[in-house]
Amino acid sequence: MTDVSFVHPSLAFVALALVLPWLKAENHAAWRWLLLLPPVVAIASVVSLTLGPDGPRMIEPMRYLGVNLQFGRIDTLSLVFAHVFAIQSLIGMLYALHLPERRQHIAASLYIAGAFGCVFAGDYLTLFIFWELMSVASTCLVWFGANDRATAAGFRYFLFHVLGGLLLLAGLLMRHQATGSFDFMPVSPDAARYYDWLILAGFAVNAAVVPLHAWLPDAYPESSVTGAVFMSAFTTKTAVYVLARAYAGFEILAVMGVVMCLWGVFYATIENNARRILSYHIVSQVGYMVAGIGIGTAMTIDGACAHAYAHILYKGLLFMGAGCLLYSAGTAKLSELGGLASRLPLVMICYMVGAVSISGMPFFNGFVSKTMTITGAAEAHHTWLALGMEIAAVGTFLSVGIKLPYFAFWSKPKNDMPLKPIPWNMYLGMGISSFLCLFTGLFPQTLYSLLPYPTDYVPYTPWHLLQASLLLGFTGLGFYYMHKVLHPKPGRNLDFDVLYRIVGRLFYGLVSVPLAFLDGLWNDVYEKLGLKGLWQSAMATIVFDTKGIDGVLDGSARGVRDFGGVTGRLQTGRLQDYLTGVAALGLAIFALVWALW
Amino acid sequence: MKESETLGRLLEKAQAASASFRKAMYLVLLALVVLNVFIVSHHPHFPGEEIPGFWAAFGLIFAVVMSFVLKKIIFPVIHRTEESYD
Repeated sequence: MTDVSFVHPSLAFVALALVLPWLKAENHAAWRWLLLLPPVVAIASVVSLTLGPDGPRMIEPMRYLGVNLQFGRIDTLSLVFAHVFAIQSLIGMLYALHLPERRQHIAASLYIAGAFGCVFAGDYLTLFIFWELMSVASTCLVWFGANDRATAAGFRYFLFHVLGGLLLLAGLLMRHQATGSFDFMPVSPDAARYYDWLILAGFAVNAAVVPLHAWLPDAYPESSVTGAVFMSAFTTKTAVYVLARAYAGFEILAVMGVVMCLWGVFYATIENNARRILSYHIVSQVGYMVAGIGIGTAMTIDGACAHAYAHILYKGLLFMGAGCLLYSAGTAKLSELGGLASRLPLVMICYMVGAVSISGMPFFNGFVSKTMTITGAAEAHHTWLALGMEIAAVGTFLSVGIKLPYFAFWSKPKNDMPLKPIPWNMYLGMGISSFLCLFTGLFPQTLYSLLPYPTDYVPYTPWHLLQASLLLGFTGLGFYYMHKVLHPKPGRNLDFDVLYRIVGRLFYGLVSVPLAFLDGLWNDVYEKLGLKGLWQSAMATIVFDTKGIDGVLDGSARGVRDFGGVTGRLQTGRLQDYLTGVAALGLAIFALVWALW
Repeated sequence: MKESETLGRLLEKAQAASASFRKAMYLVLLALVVLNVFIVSHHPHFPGEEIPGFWAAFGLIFAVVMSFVLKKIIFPVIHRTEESYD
């Protein structure tokens, strides 16, 4: 039904992106407050949205190029994602408030606009437009890391997202060919056709489903300090949203989700760069959501949405904490940090709130969402999958909960390295996130009331509390025994991107070696046979023309040529010659007329 | 913004007293296992979950095994220098 009109949050962000180029960087102190306007509009817009009497509402579609573009579908699923996107856009903009660099804000605004556009899109074409907007804008956020490594990583990132976008485009066009519609609706796992699988593959690229995930830990650690905070929130979670919308109940997602959970923590355990550890943990945490969607019961889909909500808040917070380290100390490498707890106590405390949230510690938001997904999986009799998620929970606390803060903030005596003072707005961003992580953890109903399906799940039972405390407490003990083994070393680790590079090199090799050889061969053949043949046939034609045809026509051609030579000589190109000629000719005609009349 | 030095000094003291914290943590862990004897899962989802200390053992074993296998066996094979990607 089309009975609703609302201020689309994307409009506010696009408007900001259009205004910013006209402002001067030196007036930053005045215009920076503008940055907070679109997030406030978005929050007001999303909070004021309600469902219709029959549930979902649609705004009037817009007609463009002969198709209807549906920019506003409002239902419980889109609302829960829009809700947290709006909040995180405010936190992210606050965190970036001190930057006079307008291009960063423009890219971030367009990126957020893309995310909102995807969440409210009612058809595949609209979705695709905003999907690509996100991909281009986020590539800029990587490039604004502003060093050679960021530039290279940005290109790799973009290449991979172009691939994902093309899979989506091919899928939606073929789907249109077959069904005649661009409707973005749930697909039944039994009725999925080849085009549905293509679209799913396109979504899987953005959701960083293993083995299509390596772009994420490659690019995010290189992006700008503030850009990474936005990126950690929107790309993968938009992908989770579209998967929940269309592909719930796909068994393969359940299995791949758990593979992601484990893959992410395995790499995070041995990585050195704090932002890369956090990036691997996006893969891992998104794994819980993908698994929940794949299992496809009301409880696990609720769990996936709740986890996406919680994850955006705590992962943003963790990236803000690691961003503060990079901003202040100039590096995010654990091997170069350590002993900073007493010098950056507030950063440490905020980071720890994020760390215990992601680890699922009771009273923080990860606890109320993660246990929901795992319990849902176990109740749906996916015992092995649930067990895999529990192992990932151990790895999460081990790597992000203890290892990272231990080696960044403690591990060494007080560190005397020079530290750049951190602007107040970065602290404020972290403070708000920390508060929300704790608030939704303490009052889970505030989150549960937003979920797509009604739930009676109670996270705070004595058994759940004890189970989580045992699991985390003894994981901590395990770290205590193994902390010397886990000591970070500089460098990075090979992942599936090695495979991408091999495929890339093979393609390049195919183009440069066999195809170039064939091209060279063809050139030779052409030069030796083709050109020579042409030359000789031209010679033969000349002989035939002069001797043969001209002879037959009794030298007429030679006569014409000689006449041409004479007239050519007459044409001197001088004006007086022509005037004389014209006068002589006129006189002769006049004489002739007079004589004959 | 300048960070609070009082808070910093407090954390330094805490770091100096890490031995006492360690003892306290051992006591807390012990208390948790004892609690587990009285509080058990009413609907065990995993075989063995009803045994007291199951999740304690699960956390400890996987933390130790994961650290060892990943850092001592996998890491040397897949580790490269930071520059190897440039």
